Amino acid sequence: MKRPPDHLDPPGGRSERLDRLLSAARGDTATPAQMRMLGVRLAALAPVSAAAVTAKAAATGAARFSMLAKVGLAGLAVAGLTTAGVVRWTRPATSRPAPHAAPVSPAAPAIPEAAPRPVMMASPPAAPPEPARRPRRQASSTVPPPAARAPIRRMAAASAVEGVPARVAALPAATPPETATPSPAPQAQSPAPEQSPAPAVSSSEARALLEARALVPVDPESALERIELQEERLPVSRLAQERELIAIDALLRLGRVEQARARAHSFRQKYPGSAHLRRLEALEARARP
Amino acid sequence: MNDASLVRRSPPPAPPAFEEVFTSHGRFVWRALRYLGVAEGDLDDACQEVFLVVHRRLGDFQGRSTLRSWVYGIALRVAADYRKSAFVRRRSSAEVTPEASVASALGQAEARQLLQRALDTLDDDKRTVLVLHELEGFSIPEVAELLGCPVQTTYTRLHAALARVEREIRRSQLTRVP
Repeated sequence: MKRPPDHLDPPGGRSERLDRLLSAARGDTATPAQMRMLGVRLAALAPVSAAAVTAKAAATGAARFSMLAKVGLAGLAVAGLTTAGVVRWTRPATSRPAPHAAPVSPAAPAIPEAAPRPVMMASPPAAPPEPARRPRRQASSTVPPPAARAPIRRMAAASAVEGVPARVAALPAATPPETATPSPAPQAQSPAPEQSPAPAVSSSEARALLEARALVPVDPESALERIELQEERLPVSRLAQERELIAIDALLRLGRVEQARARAHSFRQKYPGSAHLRRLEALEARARP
Repeated sequence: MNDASLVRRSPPPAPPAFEEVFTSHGRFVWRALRYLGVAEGDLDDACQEVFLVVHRRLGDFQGRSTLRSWVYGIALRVAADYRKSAFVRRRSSAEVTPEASVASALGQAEARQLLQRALDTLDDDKRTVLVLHELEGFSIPEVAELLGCPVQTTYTRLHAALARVEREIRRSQLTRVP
């Protein structure tokens, strides 16, 4: 870890205590369990791919990782987060080396691929074993009833890992930029979190979306109701695109094709560079006779 | 054809895969958010927010800065938005516990709390410089670029931040309950 030159230290020199505090803080990264949970959440909201992650887990002989993953998946399933850490990706697995979970060099990784495409993701990243620091928050209790947990028609087969069916289809990858207009910050090219003034995504919002998406294959009517409720509660949302896709999917499954097409048309107009257009096309293709 | 035209014609580097970004930087972004003032209970949401933005904007990344700087730039904005919330400020102040002052040993949790309390006394600019340089390992020129301020200003902020944190730590030692 870099240290500033000595002349920057406070008068009297940097105390040993301060050094110890800073040193302790440097080791204070997220635990593997925390990253796993975060990966699951992201996987449900965005195409977090973990081909490299699973490769890494395998390379490190992470039996513990596997077990923890199962526990985490089971917990999520019970909690109603039916993504179960397994989301369908459309990117073919690549043979990229697993990235290091350590501070990276300033140079951006050179990856010979034009744009990220989805892959099958089993779970978020594994990291060196480390005890979890705090209990994970519980998911909503608004779980689809057991009767509603019928196998998903078309996605279950592709999205099952270690016997845990994925109830939720992943959203598509961020292959193209979301819009055609983003202009990076001049100096460090650090973009604003979002161009719209939408509030941050809360756990409850993400959870509601996950639940709606889990409902789509088994009860699209209820899924649509939940989406509409979310739209009323949060007209402006960072997850508006994801929400819209779920609504379109639900409408198609209900046979309300014209409505679905209208929303799809509106979606394309509103988000011409969306990363979800591929997914939208797939939905529409499925609805064609 | 001269070098300049070759540079102009060469395509921008392909953006890395999202999973690689998440795997490489997730844990460290999480740490940075924590020391940039995001409360423990909100770390997951904030980190999720960062990587949702990363996911959506990754296609825009053109390599003008390092990927790491780009990701941390997003994290800084998320943390700044977070700190602006009055609700968060109220809750943060309420979250301070006396645990650190009564602990007999300087354990990891205590060290973290002490440092976080000291960091809480800094303004956002100084805090950001200290966290990026001391904890995240960015060089001063990198921090300056990330924050869009002169290098000398960055040095000044770091110096002031370290001095202030040092004072706060000494003060906490004096008021420490044995």
